[in-house]
This record gives sequence, C-alpha cells and structure tokens, in this order.
Amino acid sequence: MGVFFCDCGDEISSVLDLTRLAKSASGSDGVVHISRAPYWCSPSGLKRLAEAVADEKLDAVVVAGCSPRTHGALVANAAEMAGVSRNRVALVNLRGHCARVHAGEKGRATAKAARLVRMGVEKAGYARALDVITADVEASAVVVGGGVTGMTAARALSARGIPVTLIEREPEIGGLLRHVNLLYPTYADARAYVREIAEGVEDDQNIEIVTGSTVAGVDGHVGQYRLTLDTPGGAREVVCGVIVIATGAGVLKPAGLFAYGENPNVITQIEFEEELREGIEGAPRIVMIQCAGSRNPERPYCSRVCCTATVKNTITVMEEAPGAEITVLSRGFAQYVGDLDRARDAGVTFLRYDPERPPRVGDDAVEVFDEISSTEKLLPYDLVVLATPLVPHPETAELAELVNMPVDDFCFVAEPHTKLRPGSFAPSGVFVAGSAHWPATIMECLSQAHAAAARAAALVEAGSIEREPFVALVDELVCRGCEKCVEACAHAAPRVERGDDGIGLSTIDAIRCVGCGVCVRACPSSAITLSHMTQEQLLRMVGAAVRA
Amino acid sequence: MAARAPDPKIVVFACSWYPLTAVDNAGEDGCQYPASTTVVPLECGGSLTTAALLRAFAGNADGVLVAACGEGDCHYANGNGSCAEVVDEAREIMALAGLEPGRLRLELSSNVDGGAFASLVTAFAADVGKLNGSARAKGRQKPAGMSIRKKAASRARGRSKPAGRTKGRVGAKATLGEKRAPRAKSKRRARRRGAA
Repeated sequence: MGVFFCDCGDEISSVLDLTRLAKSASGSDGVVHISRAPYWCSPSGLKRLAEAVADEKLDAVVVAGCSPRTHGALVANAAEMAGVSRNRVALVNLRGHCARVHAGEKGRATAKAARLVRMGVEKAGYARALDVITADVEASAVVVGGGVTGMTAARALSARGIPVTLIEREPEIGGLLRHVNLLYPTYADARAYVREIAEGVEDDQNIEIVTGSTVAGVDGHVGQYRLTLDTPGGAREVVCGVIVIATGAGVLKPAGLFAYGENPNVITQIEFEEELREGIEGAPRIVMIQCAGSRNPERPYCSRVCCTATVKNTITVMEEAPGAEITVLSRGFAQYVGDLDRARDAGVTFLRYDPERPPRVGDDAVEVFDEISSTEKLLPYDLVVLATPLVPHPETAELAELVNMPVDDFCFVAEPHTKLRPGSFAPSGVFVAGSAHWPATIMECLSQAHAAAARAAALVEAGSIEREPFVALVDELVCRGCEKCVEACAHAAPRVERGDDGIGLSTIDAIRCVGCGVCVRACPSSAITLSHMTQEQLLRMVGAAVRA
Repeated sequence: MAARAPDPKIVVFACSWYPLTAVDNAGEDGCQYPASTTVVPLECGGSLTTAALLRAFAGNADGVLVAACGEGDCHYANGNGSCAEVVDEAREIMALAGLEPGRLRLELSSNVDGGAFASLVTAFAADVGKLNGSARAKGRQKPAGMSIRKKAASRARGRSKPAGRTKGRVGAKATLGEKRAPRAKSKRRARRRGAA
C-alpha cells in the first residue's frame, strides 16, 4: 500500500507536522511506499501517483489530503487507471477534518491526523477489490392502465421499437374518458377521441393488450421484472425491463354527502356527463355544488379538473337548452378554470358558499347562504350535480406496494425523492404518469405519458444498468434463514429460500440493495456484511480512531 | 495537579449524508472543535453495529456521539431508526460495564451547518470531560469494568508487539479480560507513564 501525503499548498502543512506523520505511517502494516507532494490533485501530482503505483505495484492507495466529496473521484480515477481497485483507494481528509478545524492545537492536530491516516490505511488495506455491478435490461415494457395516459405511453414506447404489454383492469381500454361527454376546450366528442387513440393501440403490432386483468405480483429488479398477472384465462407471467404505472383515478361517490345516494336526483359530474350524452329535454333547473368531498379535512387537496368540467357542462346545457336555469355554488374557482365568462354570458348564476356553512340539499330545493350577496338563497331544483374529486383506485396502492413505491396520504403514487448520488443506486425502473400520480388534466396526462415513456426507453436503450458495488453480502455458511434481514430491509432486497432440508438461506438482490446495512445489524448470526465496509474494516477503523 | 487533564477522547460516528456534510462544512468554514475528536464516517447510520460502537469504548474513547439523519430523512428509509436501536442496546451494555450513560449521545439531525456541528461536539466533549473529572475524583483513571486493554487485544490478534514495550509483560497472560496481578499492572503503568 502507498500513503501519499499532500501539503495542499500549505493549508495542511502549515498546521500538521507531515514529517512526523510520514514517520508514523511507515510503521503501519502493509505500507511500502510513502511520499509527499504540494498538490497530489494537480496533473503532475496525479501522474506521479500513477507512476508510484505502477513502479511499486501498489494494490492500495491512501491519499492524506482533502475532501473525498470534492476530490475523491479524481484520486480514485487516477489510481484505478494505474491498476488499483477503486474500492482500495482512500482519500483521508486531513484538510477539512483536521488542519482547518484544529488550527489552535497543532500538536494534538498532528496526533489526530495520525489516527485519521491510520483509519484510511485500515480501510483501504482491508477493502475488497470490487467491480461495478451491472445488470442487463430486458428490451420490453409493461404499461399498467389502458386509459389515455397508458395508451399514449404505450404508443410512445412502441414507436421506439420497444414491445409493450398493456394491462387494463376493465374489459375494454379507454379509461375514465369513456364516460366523459365533451372535451374542454374544443368541446369535441370525448368518446370519439378515445376511440381514435384506442384504434391506434389496437393496430400497433408492438403492443399486446391484456384486458380484464390486474397485476398480482412483481418480482425481480429494474431491468428484469417478472410480473404475475391475474387474467380471465388464469395466471400469466410477463418479463419486462421497465414498468409504467398509468392506472389513473376514479371519481369519488360521496355516500351521504349533500344527500348523494339517498336522493336519486343528486348525482356526480361524471354521471352527469353520461346524461348529457343522451341530450337535455325541456328547461331543467340545475344546482351544481363544487368541492363536494374535497378541500376538507379528509381530503384537503383540490382535484384540479372539476371546476373546468363543471363550467364546460353548464355551457353544454345552455347551448342545447337555453331555457335551463343553472346555479353553481362554488368555494371560489381554481385560477385556471376556462370559459367562466362564457358561462356567465350564457346566463349561468355563480354563487359562493363558505365551507363552514355548506348548502343544505332538501327534497325540492337547495338552501344556501351566498357569501357574495350575504343573503340566504332558496334554489328549487330538478337536478343537483356534485363536483367530486379524483381519488386513486384501491388497486393503485396495491400495485405501488408490489413495486416498492411510496404512496402519499391519499394513496396517489408518490415519486421517490431524487437521490443525490446517481451512480450509487440502481435507477428506478418504475415510472408513474397521469392521475395515478396526482389529479391531472388531459394535456398533463399526455405530457407525463411521453416523459415516462422517454425515461423508460432510455433505460431499455442503454441495454444495461450499472451501479457502484455497495451491497450487503450473506455468508452462506453462517446464515440460518431466520428472515430477520427480510424484516429489517425497507427495499425488499433479501429473500429467504428454503432448501429441501428445510434450512433457509438468504440471498440479497444486488440491484435492489442500497447498501444501508440495517440487515447487517439485524442478523443475529452476523452472517451479513457490507461489501464496501465490512465489519472487519469498521472495527479496525474504530480501533484506529481511538488509538492513543 | 500540574498537568492539565487531557481532552476527553470523542469518537463521532457520522452517516455520510447530512451529518458528514455538516462535518465537511465545518472544515470548509473553519469552525474549530477539539482535536481529541475523531470522526468515523459510515455510509448510513444503519450500518452501525453495537459491536463497532462499543469497540470505541473498549479502546480509550471517553465519549461516543452517533450522528445520523433526522427523523424521516434517512436516504435509505430506516437506517437512522436502526442506529437509534443500536444506541439503546449499547447503553444497556454500558450500564452493565459501569459506564455512565452520558458518555453516549445520539444526534438525529438534518442540519448541515458546520458551526452547529462544531458547537455540538464541543459541548458534548465538555460534558464528557465533567464525567471524566468526577470519575478521577473517585480515584478511577479509566471507567470501571472495561478491562479489555488495547495491548492485550492486539496480542490476542497476533500482531507484532509495539517496539520498546516488551519488558514487564513476559509471563503475563495475553487473553482478553483475564485479570493480571496488581503488581505487574502498576509496573507497566509506571513504565508507560515514564515512556510517554
């Protein structure tokens, strides 16, 4: 092993006695080379380091210099190019962890520096030579959800030559838009729109549509997922490299709220869309109530699409039945609601209610205190239409659990927060788009579908994934299959399989494993160790840290 | 007492995310803290085992500070929860060995401010220094009960003896934990005091 001391200009050498440090390092086991330079990170310094490695056939390198955060990669790259395994390179921070923080205690700082160098020697000296972990990525995708989002993602993936299996829970594809009458802002027929997209999917040779089916199980890791499907024809396995979740959302049916479920004349906006398709007769009196079941303690969120849908529906009614009387009771409109003025011009009345004093739906009339005019209003009605929020399907949360994705308080699939060290972790092979993620307009669904497909395709096109070899390893001779590691792991990486003799053995999926080490601690047999910081390394480092 | 009491030796186990960033920032900003502090970096608080923690005390650490990310902020989901359990377990064993619970502190924090780290470790060292003071006042040079000596441990591992210290130990047993004759003990201690 070689120990390379850096003056760091004079940042380190002005505080620490590098001569003494070099002398104490020479007594350490395995150290055959010690040298010193003003800046090892300079091009000439790196060259000199590489030469020393080659000349003396060093198999481990400790650079006593500055921060691994800033210069770790530089040093590791140089050593690796000279033939040292990356894992056997340690950059000890004598600058930020010693010279700069103990400027007033030079003698003790040097003593501490000796400990730090010793820790680096133990770490590098007892480190395993590890290779980067790679895994192949299957060149195929699964899209779960056959609504506009899923269909668009499937087409986008197929256009890049990636075969797609599109899984849909209902007997036919099309999703929520099949139940919508007209689309905003074009007022075009929603069913025709969906049909056109669906035909594109059906004609696409690269897409296999599996209807009436759900995902019952997911195994494997990014690049190699094995899904078990529950289909009308029985269980079926699909292997793929990436998964897109586009399971969308349903519209809440708020039993008991504003007499919904009790009074047959109280319906939701999505149910109203179906009625509008059949046409309006006469001059109905309609009262519409916004934020029914949302923006309340149970669901504090705004569902983002209902205000636009409501206003669109009022315009649809007024154009077909100009004699109709429509009153919309809102709690204030979302800023992006469209066509509000057009609705007002068409004769729709907009009142405002306070959530503390919600409208009361009677058998024939709705009573409401209008906050704008500060008067109590009595509104006789033929129909009450509730704008209720989008809520995720229960199957979405189940699917998220199968792929180890978090869900938020309302069971929408949450995106895991961006990792700060891209090389250390395996990239996620699961992507979410559309209302499964958060209530989204059609435009947003389409954008997200394309974005998810692009990211998924990038993984497939790369052909393989790489990650740093920071994983937990099980000693097969010691493991007794108690499954404590399975319990402790939050990433579903260990799995215990029982042999014919009944004895279990844990294996840890190297791609799912994130290298946190909780399994190391959980194992009562001490059968697990981290490849990048074995228990031996750690105990030796602690020993070096407390050395007098 | 002519000589000043030595600064308490503090070992800090710092996870590589927020806590180590705070340590690095202290370095960038030049925030001073006692040089008797040594930081052992861990990838995640979850990889800290009770054995590794107690190894610090079995050496000559006076205090151990375990620093991991704040509640809910663990980048690996539950590593900080695991290290909190390790700290609890270590405290139970410390109690059996007669080590004061105040010598071990757990700090779960997502604060990356260098000054905050320096203050934390300085304050902890001061608290541990007080414990050392009261232990010395009771006539104990080292915490009671932890009889695993560094030299005995290194002999047990079969490493070469440190130069110049072979006298006085011939005939003494090398196994861990075994009590040595008091006379031989004080001879070695006197020699070490003379040699230091």
